[in-house]
Amino acid sequence: MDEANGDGEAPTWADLFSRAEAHGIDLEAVHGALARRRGSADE
Amino acid sequence: MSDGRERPAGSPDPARVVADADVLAADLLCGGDARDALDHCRRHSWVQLVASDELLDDAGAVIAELAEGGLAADWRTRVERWRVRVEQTPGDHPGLASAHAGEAAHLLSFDEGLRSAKTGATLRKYVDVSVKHPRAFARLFDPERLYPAVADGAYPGPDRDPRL
Repeated sequence: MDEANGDGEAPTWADLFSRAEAHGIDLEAVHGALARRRGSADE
Repeated sequence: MSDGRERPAGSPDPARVVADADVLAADLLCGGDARDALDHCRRHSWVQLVASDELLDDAGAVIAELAEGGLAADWRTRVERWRVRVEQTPGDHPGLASAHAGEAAHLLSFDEGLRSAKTGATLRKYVDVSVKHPRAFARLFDPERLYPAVADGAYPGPDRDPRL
């Protein structure tokens, strides 16, 4: 299932979290974006 | 475990977890409760994250909108290798549909509507899943207690680095 550990191809979670942190996104923004996404899908 | 232990017919797998799109995106973008909850899954290879393509599409769209497409693409690459893929009926709620298709016992969501008692009673007619706030899952998850229900032997402790 999980083939990323040690295979050198997929980014690590540590790398992804580090890159994401630079954007300074809060939970409210996540909720808003998902509501827009699912709201538009319902239309 | 999802790879062997027999369960009563129709009962969900206690080692299978679905994180709704808000939790998947918050795990990456915000940390906090979402990351605490999913770190339990990352630390244990026998705890399986179940997700349909539609569920990952939703989370990926949120990540791409709020951060950047490159990060969303790399997240998708990483999470594709982690998740157990299930097929869902088009148009169904991706989180609930993933839990149903994957026979997952837990659905993690920030959505109060999904977690309400009224909704829970309605849901149980269709899918046997416990909808939890990530904070509750992070606090209540007890791998030592769960392990004997899914595998033989004593709990060996975490077997993966959650940051790899």
